[in-house]
Amino acid sequence: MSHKHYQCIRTQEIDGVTVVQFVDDKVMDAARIEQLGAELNKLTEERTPPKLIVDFSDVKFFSSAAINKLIVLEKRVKEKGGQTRLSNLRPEVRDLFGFTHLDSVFRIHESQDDAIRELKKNQ
Amino acid sequence: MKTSDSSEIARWELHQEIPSDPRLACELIRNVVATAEELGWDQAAVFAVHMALEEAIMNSIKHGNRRDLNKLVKIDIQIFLEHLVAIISDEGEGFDPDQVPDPRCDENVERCSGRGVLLMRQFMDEVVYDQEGRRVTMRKLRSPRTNPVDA
Repeated sequence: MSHKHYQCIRTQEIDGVTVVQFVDDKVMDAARIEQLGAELNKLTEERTPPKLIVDFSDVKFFSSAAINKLIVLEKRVKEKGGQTRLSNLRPEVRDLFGFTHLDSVFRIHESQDDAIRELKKNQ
Repeated sequence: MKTSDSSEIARWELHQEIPSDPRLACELIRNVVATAEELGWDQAAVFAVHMALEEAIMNSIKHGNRRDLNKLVKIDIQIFLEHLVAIISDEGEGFDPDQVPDPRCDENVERCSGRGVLLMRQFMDEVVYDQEGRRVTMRKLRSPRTNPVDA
C-alpha cells in the first residue's frame, strides 16, 4: 500500500513490515530533511509495534542532518517496542555509518529481502 | 597544507562569499558536485567531496556565524587534474576542533550532532584548521584511498 500523503518517502507493506524508500536520490536540502523527519515520525504512529525497513536503493547522497532524523526514528521505534532495519546502502553511504559507528546503532542488511527475513524471524 | 604545484592550473574554480543561508549553500554544493561529475570524478570521490563540503559549510553557517545573515561564509574551491582543494572560512568566534567530543564514543553515538569534523576527516585526504578554527582547508585526491586515515 502506498501512502500518497507523504512527500519525501514512499512506503510499501510487505509481510507485515513497512518498507520505506526515499523520493530524493540526494537527501540534503534542509527544508526537505525537516519534512522527512516529520514523515518518519508519523510512520511510527501508523503501526504498533512499528516494523520498519529503511531501504536506500537509489540514494546517492545522505547528509548527516538526514542521519539525525533516522536516529530519532530509531529511538521512537524502539520506545514503541518495534524494530528498524536498513538495507541496500551503496558503499559510500555504508561508510558513513561505519565511520561514525552508527552501524552499532542500526542493523544494516545487504538487501531488502534479507532485512524482511530477519525481521520476520524476530516476530 | 600544500594546495597545489605553483605551475598547476585549475581545471575549474569557484571563489564566492555567501550569506549564512543553508539554501544558498545547498545550491553552491550542487554546482560543485555536478562539476566534479562532469570532470569524470568517480562516485566515491564525488560523495566524499559532497559530504565534506556540506559539513564544513553548514558548520560555518550554524556554529561559526550562528545563522547571522549579515555574516558571510567564504568558499574557495579549485579542481585540478588529480585533486580538489576547498577552503571554507567564516566570521565566527572560532573553535578548537581537537576539543570536539568524539561522536563515536558510546555516550555520544546516538547524539543528533557533532559528526561534522569527523566526517570531513574521514572522507577527505587532508583537513587542516587555522585562524583559530575559523578556516578549514581540505584536499581530496581523485584516486580513491586504500586505507582511510582514522580521525
